[in-house]
Amino acid sequence: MEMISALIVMGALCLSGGLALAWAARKFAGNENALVVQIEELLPQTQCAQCGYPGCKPYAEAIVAGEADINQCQPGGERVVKALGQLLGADYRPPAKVAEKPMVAFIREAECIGCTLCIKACPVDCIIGAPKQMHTVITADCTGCTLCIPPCPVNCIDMEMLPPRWQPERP
Amino acid sequence: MMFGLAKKFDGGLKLPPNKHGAEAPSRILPIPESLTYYLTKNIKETHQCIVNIGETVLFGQSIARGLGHQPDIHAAYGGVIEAIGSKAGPYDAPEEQAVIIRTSEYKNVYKHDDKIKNKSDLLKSMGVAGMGGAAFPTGEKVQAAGAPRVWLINGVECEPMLSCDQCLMREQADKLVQAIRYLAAEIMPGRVILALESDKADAVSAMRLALGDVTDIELACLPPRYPQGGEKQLIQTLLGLEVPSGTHAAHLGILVLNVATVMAAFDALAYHLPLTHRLVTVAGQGVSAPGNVWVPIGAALKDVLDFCGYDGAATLRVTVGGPMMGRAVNSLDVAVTKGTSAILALTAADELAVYSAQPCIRCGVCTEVCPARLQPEDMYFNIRAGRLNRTRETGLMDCIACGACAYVCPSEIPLVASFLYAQQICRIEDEQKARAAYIGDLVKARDARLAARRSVRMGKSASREAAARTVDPAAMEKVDAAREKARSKIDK
Ligand code: SF4
Ligand code: SF4
Ligand code: SF4
Ligand code: SF4
Ligand code: SF4
Repeated sequence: MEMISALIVMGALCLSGGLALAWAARKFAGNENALVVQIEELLPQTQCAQCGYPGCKPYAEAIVAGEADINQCQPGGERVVKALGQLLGADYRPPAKVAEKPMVAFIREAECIGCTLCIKACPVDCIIGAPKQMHTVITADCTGCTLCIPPCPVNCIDMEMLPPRWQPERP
Repeated sequence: MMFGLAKKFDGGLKLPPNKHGAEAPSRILPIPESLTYYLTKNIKETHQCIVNIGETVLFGQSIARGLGHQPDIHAAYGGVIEAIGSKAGPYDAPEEQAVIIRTSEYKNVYKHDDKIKNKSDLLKSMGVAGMGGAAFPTGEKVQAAGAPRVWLINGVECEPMLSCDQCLMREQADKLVQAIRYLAAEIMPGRVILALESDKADAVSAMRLALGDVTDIELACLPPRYPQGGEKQLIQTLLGLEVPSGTHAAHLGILVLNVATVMAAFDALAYHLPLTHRLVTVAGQGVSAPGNVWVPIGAALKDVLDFCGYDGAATLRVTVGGPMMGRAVNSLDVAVTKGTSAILALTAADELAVYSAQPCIRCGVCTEVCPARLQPEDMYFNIRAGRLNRTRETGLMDCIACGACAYVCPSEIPLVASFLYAQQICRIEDEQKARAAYIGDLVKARDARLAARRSVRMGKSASREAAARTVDPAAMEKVDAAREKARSKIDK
């Protein structure tokens, strides 16, 4: 019996969530660009593609098009799901993947051959270098998105963990 | 010249003063074996260390540079840099990064050159921060105020048990007057008012004597009321002006500095002396010799407490700051900072309020006493229900954490602890939003750059860029390997 009621409840929840999204899409119909901008403002702008789309804007577009769910942004975590839910009138659901600790890229400068491929991949332009010169990462701007790692032909980019952000405990 | 009261601030309380040891002359702490200086606050970097392990530093030498407006840090005694690493911290996070000096060298004094002429830069490089508790960078505050309409010198010290400002005014009244006149010539305020509470008779008479027939410094003796020493409350009481929510006194052309800060600023500007020592109130039934002690910033609480006859067995908790706004520490290795006005060893007999939360009875007394005109019981409910935005709209960020509401609450609900928690969460959210906006700008700048180039070299780079951004499984393996490596490094 419990099992059945649980199923009914879950079903109803999914349905209501879906309906809400569909409703939101209709409410904002014709106004999609504005909605994309609003959604994008809530995303962390890490441009890490971990949501399955090549950046925050494409992900926002996918949400508006009804292709993506609101819980796919990994760095955003719970906060972004909640904010998106509030904006779109959808129910809360836990993030699809739990975010890792914050990281930054670090280039082992001695090994870098100066091919500039990582620069082209970095969505925030935080790698400096010129052809055949050593490259380096501006740590303060790096979002830890890892997009620079695959293109490097000599595998000389490491990810380094940042100290975790301190969170207050609930009294 | 005496001063007529404009009006009293909203809410507030009369608290038992409990100023044990306030009348005793100040003492000087013997040189501690080691000194600790924090480079982070709640793990966030605030200072950059500029010395190396093993290096010898002199008294007054700068050992860490403040990031942004943060004032620099100076060695309070000469010695050798023993370590740079984790240490029990005085804030909310249990541990902070710190520089530790083993003291050994007492003869030589570091000479600061006097190239810096700008007064707010000089205040920063001499390490001057607000000494009333919040340790706000004084240089930044002075700069923001410009030539203020009114300069308030805050000697109110309204919290029970605290008496370091009272002691300072009593013992160094002449120097304080000299400091005020010197600084007044620098910052050119329209009016200067020194405010203190009338129940500190010794400080009042010392200041009266020192001021003599000086007429350009007004003395305001206020009837005691908590939390009168809060910046906004003091302005309301003295000038009848309300500082609007979300703004600072500087917006009204008012500069408020605590008396000890005024002294430190004077030493910095007139003599190029960095802030290295401060007067700290040590009190509570857990110490046998309470009173005010000159302590080098960086000394461990343990050293200071032991000097005052600390009885660990009788003490229930040790707090840094007063009994209302101070916070309990977990370790006595925590070091004194520029904002440490008091170290209290509280026993059961000292506790002002014991929190054993019972349900709220909606009596409304918390709202009555709140000096910031908030509705604590509402905020508390909203925080409990996770409605942080709602709490914010009703003024959460205006709460000055004075503790008046929790003190009067008949249900003993720990209201302030809950507000502090919610404020911190809100601040972290703001930071994340600001960071997202910044990164968003970087992305836009890059898109603009690519678009400009694309119009020159039609299409070529755009397709290559798109290729670099698509996620293919083989590439993901490389990424996973890098992540794994980073993780294993941390575990080590
Ligand atoms: S996972 Fe989040 S941060 Fe990363 S690209 Fe997608 S939306 Fe942006
Ligand atoms: S340096 Fe690498 S990890 Fe950092 S933002 Fe650029 S592409 Fe992402
Ligand atoms: S991709 Fe690798 S080798 Fe090429 S420039 Fe970047 S770090 Fe250097
Ligand atoms: S702690 Fe905050 S809410 Fe409570 S009385 Fe003080 S200002 Fe008001
Ligand atoms: S004082 Fe305590 S019991 Fe009374 S309304 Fe406020 S929170 Fe509730």
